[in-house]
Amino acid sequence: MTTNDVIRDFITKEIMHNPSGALVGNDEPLIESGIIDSLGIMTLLSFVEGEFSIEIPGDELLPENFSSIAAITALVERRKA
Amino acid sequence: MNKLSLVFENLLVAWYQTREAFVEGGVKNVLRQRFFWKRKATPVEMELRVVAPSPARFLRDYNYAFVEIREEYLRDGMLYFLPGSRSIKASRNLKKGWRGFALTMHGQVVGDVWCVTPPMEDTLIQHADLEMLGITPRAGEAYAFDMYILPEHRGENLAAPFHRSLHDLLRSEGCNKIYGFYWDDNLPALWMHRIMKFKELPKRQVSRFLFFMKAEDVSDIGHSRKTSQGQPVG
Repeated sequence: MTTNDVIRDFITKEIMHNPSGALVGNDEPLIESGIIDSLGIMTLLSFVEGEFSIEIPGDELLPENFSSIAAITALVERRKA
Repeated sequence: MNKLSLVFENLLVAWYQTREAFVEGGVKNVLRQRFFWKRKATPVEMELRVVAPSPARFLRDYNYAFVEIREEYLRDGMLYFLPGSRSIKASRNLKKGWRGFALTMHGQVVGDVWCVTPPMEDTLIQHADLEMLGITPRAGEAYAFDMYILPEHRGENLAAPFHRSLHDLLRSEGCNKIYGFYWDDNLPALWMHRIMKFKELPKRQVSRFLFFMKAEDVSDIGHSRKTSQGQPVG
């Protein structure tokens, strides 16, 4: 599975509680739709940091870095590099 | 207000908060609230001239109402607070002349937020936090603080529309800027302020021992993040 797939899978199943996984597009807005709210960001951050063994500093906790699955993937790839 | 009764109410609020913090997260949580050393706070501000999309419909669609808290509502049981400390705090804050706003569902308070507004157009507001935060508001500017959402209603995206409802009201009263702050280790609060596009001001480093507090400017440091703990705000 690619980084993108892992993130999509987690968001779909653990945050949206939608096991089918078919509804989340790569560029679908996650913040405006309320998927990544104050509770969602805690869950997602904990998963991403553990799964990819990275640390995301406070300066990177910006809405634009979590606005879509594509943006989160880009952030993770950047931190892994 | 009688000074002795204010001291008593402050102690009562502290007792309730300590008990609730213990129930929520044990001794560690209690200590984290009462004693800290060099904890980072980020003051924030937002111009209220720009009108954001109205939150009224979102709240109405889910049967929530935005209500200003008044002494008679508390006395007559028209507003019902679930955690004991919030109810006592509400009563105490009103006596201090602060304004409270509740997010309610069928009369029960789901969340509340407090605010100091200028009593008249050309007057300045005063609040102990402002010194801690190094903020000097001008005439016509307000300060919002101590937002709380019941744990069972967190994760429902209520925090931002609730806060925006406050902005709408303050704007309609002629306020042109609102201040606030979040602790850097409170991820949900950080997230809410960033989603709402608050402007971040130079950081402050705060140490606290019970009721004693010391704050200093640390604008040269970056935003490191030690934990992702915190109380979800909405």
